[in-house]
Amino acid sequence: MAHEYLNDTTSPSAAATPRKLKVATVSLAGCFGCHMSFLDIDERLLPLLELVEFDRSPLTDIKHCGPCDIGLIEGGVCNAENVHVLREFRANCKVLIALGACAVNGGLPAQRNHLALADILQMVYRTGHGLAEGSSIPDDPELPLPLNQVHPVHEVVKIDYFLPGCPPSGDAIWAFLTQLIEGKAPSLGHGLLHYD
Amino acid sequence: MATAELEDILERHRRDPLRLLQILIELQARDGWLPPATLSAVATALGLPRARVESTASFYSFLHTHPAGDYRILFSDNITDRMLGNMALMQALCGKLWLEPGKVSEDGLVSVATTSCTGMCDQGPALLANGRTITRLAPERIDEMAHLIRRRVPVGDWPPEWFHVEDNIRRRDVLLDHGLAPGQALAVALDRGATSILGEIERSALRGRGGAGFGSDIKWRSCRDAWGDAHYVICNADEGEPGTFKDRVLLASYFDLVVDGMCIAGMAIGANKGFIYLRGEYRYLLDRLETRLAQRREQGLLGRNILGCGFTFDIEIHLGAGAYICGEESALIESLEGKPGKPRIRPPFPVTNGYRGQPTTVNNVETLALAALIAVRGGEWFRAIGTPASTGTKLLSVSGDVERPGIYEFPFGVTMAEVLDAAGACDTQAVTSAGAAGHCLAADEFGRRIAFEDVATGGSIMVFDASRDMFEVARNFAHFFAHESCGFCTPCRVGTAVNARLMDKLAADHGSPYDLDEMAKMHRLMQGASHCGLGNTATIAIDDIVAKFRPAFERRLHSPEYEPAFDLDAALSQARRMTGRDDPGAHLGDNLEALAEERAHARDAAKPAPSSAAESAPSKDLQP
Amino acid sequence: MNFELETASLPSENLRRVAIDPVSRVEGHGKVTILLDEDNKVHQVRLHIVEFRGFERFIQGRPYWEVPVMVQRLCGICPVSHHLAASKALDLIVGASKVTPTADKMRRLMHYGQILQSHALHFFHLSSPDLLFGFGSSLGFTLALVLFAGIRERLDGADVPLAFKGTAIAMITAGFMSLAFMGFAGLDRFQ
Repeated sequence: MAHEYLNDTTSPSAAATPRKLKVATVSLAGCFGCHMSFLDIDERLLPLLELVEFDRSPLTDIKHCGPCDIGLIEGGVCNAENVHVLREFRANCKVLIALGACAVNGGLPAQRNHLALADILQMVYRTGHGLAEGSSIPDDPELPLPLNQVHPVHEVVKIDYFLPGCPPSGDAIWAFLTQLIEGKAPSLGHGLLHYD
Repeated sequence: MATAELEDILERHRRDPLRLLQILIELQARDGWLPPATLSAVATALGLPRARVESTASFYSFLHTHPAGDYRILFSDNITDRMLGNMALMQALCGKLWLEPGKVSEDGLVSVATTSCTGMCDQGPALLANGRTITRLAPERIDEMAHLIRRRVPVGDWPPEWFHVEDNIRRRDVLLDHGLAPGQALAVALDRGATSILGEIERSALRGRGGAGFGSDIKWRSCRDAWGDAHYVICNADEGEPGTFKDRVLLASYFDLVVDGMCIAGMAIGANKGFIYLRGEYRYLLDRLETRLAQRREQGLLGRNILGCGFTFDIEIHLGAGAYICGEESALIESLEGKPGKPRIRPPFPVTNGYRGQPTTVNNVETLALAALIAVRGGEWFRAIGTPASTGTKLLSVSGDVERPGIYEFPFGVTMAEVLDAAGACDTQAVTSAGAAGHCLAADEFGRRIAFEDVATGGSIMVFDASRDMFEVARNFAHFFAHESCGFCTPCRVGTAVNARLMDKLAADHGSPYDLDEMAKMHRLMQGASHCGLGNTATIAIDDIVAKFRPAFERRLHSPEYEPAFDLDAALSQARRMTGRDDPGAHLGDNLEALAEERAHARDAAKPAPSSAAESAPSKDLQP
Repeated sequence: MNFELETASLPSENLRRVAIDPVSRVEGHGKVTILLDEDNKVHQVRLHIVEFRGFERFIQGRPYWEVPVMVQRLCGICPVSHHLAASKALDLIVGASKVTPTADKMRRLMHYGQILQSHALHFFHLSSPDLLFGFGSSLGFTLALVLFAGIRERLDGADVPLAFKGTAIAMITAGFMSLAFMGFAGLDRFQ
């Protein structure tokens, strides 16, 4: 269980002054709504910041995730860059959490899965309304290529916990994280667990 | 379709919005699909929003909102059909007709696809051709069928023996040997009156035969006592559980007893109207049943003033259209009201707020037949059969690896081993006790008894011998539920799909122990969080199979490390083609290598131990 | 994906590439690449939008009333703006050339709420770390939170109408406060 990993990190000598847990967060093919919901824990961020420090996160400017205790992944996997970032998180985070509907099952962006990617690109960049003369599908090597389908994160790397909701409420995220930090296996009751 | 024909259909259904599904089923049968113009015309005629009509039309798998060909061939895809080679037959038919499964041929002539169990497991493999059941498929039949389709011979003119459905009754007990004349049970009941009958049902301790085993007397009494403008009796003949076909036999050969049972239930709860919800797969029975109902009306056994006793009760038959969920009673009622079959939020329960919001009792076909029997023979007599907590007999649909598949009537309390023995099973590895939605028993459990207090069952006994791969059984079940989830609640809609994808991942040799853990978690989650019985039971068999036949799964776990569910590099194929790119950035490497690389990277990064995030970050920003 | 890449149309031998990847504290996934010469003179700057989702295609064919809710998921930071834009598009589709005064007011109220909330968010969570403590710091984040927490405590004691209690009034106050703090942006110029 993931919480055992967390306990491993606290050596007996450090027990008196527990080391701050490192938390990294990222938004892949999501909308940032889950991060906003995370910020909705508002002033509880203060006690949280006494227990954890943030590594890579859209809230900090750290661009690559270092060794962390907890990784929160928002959004599904829609392109090659997402795959790389997700692997980086998996390699560095002891506990990886799929945060929100998109990470858990692909969410709304996965609505494109019943269409052929080629047709979507064609429509958006070549045949759609309001395009400039000579528009073409971007092919710059700086850009990551989109995957044929949008996948939930657990189809690309191992995920330890899932926190559903679009987005999960701030209270749910708070309860989830505090339980995890206390070394328990998180479990949310009916009030906090919802899927829409 | 000509307007006059449409008008005719609408008139026959009295332009009743509650009959929307029945209207659409008729239109579908005539035209082969439901064009948008037809849906609009129906919406206008019934005074419904177009969206309501569309939602019903798109919910049921036997209704097509896109052209599906003049010939629509649906192979039954239960595990028993698979074991009899249905996939090879389907491929053969597709090969001969030059088309892909699931797609319509280019000339719009024919489509070939699969459908959930059609209830012909004792005489499979089976298929539905334009809704008509064909059993005992064999390569010769497939050859001839392709020939007939290419020559555009109407399905009605295909060889009649193809459509023959056997009863295959293998063991009879008190129900299948009832020896009562049509209407005899009803006459006795009318003579004794409602209170006396309710008393007999209570004394019999009759429990519902659908599988849940709810006490029939409690259901009937609460329905009788509920206030309402009208009361209704519904006979649930939507037996969709894979591997069960007992209701098919009861309807085909014991229909009078069932109707007697419905009339008795009507009398007991104070109803004048009953419905039989007949699953679409049993469409072939409809004309026969309608004829028999008409005969009974003439004989004074149905309709106004039955047997001159002043009791009025009539029955309508409604067809389903290929939705397993409609076997759930509140979804069934929704469907009966012409809506998509999505379970209602309960309470209130159907016994107080059912069809049209009125008190309604929904009973299994077998339960109603037994009620008729109890009315004649008495509750005490019935109670003496079976076990104290599970009285009477149970019809078991036995299929799979047995010499004599068919219907077995056994008193409750019989052991699984006795059933297997009677059916001629040998070298048995596993048995489902209640189809895809119930427990799966391994050989060391065959001594257990079929009874509500031990192995509860709706009657679907599918037998697998030692040659069968139990992984494929579980995978078939997972796909069945992913297809049949109504989509109303997220745990079931997503959970069943996740399970199906995990199974496919294992089948594609990408499995790891992680995937099995995920399925176990999904089992717990769906049991606790699903809206109705479908979600609650969808993972029971799968979980059992994983637990009891673990080697079948472990064989497929090629990596102790997690593996992605799909080929990542191949998943970039369309984008590569559209952008014309083939640079290193346009490819994704193998997951394990990448992971090892990332880990090494992570270790290197950890060594210098950055003093603070603030300092280390800018240097990372500025890559030379 | 290419991490170390040279894609300037200019000859690149002597140019140094700086990549800011990802651009943080915005919704949407972007990166900036800059090409500098030996004298740190900038030759090219490009902003890359690295994410493609295809909303414009997959909303086609959906029931029209679903679209406002779907497009909210374009951006979790400004869902209301997308919701209202789609609602206006639907007005045209359903022929509502003029919406009722109530609808108009409700839309305005939603939008103003979004603006207030967005300002607070921008100030406290997204820009104050930069303004106060420079790149890469989560300390600024903490300070902003301390301020915000202080306000919330004060608000707990204030006599606020019931409908505005809690998050609503905190957001309104935060919005005002952030408008005031926008002045800090000017400080940069004097450094």
